[in-house]
Amino acid sequence: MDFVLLISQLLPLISNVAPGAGQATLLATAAANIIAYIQQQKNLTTEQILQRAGAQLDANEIELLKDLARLQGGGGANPGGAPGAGGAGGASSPGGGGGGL
Amino acid sequence: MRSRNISTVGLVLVLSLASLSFKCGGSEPDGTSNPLRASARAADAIAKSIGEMNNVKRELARQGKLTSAEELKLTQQLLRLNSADKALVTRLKSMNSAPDTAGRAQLLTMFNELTAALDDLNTNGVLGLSDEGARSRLSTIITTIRGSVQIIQAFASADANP
Repeated sequence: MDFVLLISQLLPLISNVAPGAGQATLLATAAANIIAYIQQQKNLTTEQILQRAGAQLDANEIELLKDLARLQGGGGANPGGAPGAGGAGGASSPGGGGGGL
Repeated sequence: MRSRNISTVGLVLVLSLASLSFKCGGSEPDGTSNPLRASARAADAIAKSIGEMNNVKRELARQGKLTSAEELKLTQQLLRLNSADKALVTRLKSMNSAPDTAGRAQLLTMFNELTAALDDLNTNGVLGLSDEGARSRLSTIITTIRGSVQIIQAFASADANP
């Protein structure tokens, strides 16, 4: 499965869902888990993945997604540290790590 | 004589800049306020505060003042708040005048999601942090956001109860 393609189709939904009930957070959590998985598989940073996916996100969304990918995929190592750098690692599969919404 | 000319030019520059700053505010040239423009600006300010809060959150995590679980929860709550604010910014900037009844209802729905997201961030995120210093720093930013929210609220509910 092409996970970068999947991300490219998932990310626009984050900005376009109707407000309410934190649906954007749910989608972003799923996206962050997939990003963490791609990082592990392809050794790409979050920026590289978002760039390849052609994501049209605002600056806050990019930074928050980086943190989500780091925190969900990396098991909390390097707290607050350079998000995306070197890949999060540790995610065994998309959806792993649990968002706990 | 030359220094007088320089002073005059300086004065003109200062007055021009002052005039420009008034134009960039939520006021019309005739001095009346423009609630729509003020609301759009307030929604923009919230976006900046969210960015700042994310930076502070990272810094606190680096200092060991936030656990990974606390940082993850705050990140999810900030993302929800950012999505709600982004929807509101887009809506406000697409408006040219006060909305009709349907537009007002839509605006109120967006505003309610914004306040719900902010309350969630405050109550279930920031106030539950174990480190008092972290709580205090992040609470300060939430207070700033609440100030902007009040500006939007005044506009969103203005004509609902004339």
